Amino acid sequence: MRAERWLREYGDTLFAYAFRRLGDADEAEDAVQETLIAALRAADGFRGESTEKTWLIGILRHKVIDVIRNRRVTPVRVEAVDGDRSASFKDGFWKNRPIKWPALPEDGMRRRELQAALNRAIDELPPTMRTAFCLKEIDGIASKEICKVMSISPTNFWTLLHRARLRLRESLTDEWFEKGQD
Amino acid sequence: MRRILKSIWYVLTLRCEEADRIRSLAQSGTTTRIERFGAWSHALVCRGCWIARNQTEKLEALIDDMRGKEPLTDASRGRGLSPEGRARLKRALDAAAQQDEK
Repeated sequence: MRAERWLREYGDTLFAYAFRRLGDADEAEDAVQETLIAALRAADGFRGESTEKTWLIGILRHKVIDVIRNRRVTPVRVEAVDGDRSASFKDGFWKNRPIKWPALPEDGMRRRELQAALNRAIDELPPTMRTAFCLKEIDGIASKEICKVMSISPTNFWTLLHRARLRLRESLTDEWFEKGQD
Repeated sequence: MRRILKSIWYVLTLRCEEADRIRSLAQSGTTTRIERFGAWSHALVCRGCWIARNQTEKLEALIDDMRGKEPLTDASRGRGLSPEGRARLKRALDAAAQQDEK
């Protein structure tokens, strides 16, 4: 059966995708379930223009957005997500001056390791920040739509994205560029 | 004249935290030209911000690599489906398939 094969081959990938954006295992499982059922019913329409996995992730993306949209609306405050101020600054100036990153590795394996370090850093972002970051930066969803489904003001949304990038830079500095390369 | 003086004052008094925010959001369309100029000129005289600017560019390159690509599965970090979840999904799919057959 086609759906069973999808579950066997892509179940973990689909779950990881949903979990990263939703931060809740039950919601992620439900989204995967709805995706596979929807795919089963739409399978005849799959024309093979992309891989099956890409097609399934495309369906899952909509399901994830629906889950976020249907959550009970609680206004997002950046301070509640990330504290009052970033730990990098004191009185508006650098607390510790950032360290210079060497050139990014061109070599395939080193580059993939660095990508994996970035993925770990993304997973460690606070859930709301991670959701906003993934939807915008990885999935390329329009900021207006994200603000709407997350019930978040544009100002708070852009602040969350800035804080996310700042945290990712700090994590990569600590975990990769300072010590994690060997 | 007053506007020009205000802009000059803004550029001269810009702090690292604000300059970093402007650089980080430069592509968002939410920053003004004077803010971007302020952040750029601030980085010319502030070593920390110059390095941060360089880090931001490299981070953008790494994020670009990820865009539109399928996610990495890292089952070793507990991000895969649990056996119970997998069994539940299998049951739900069987039920949906049977329902469709009727």
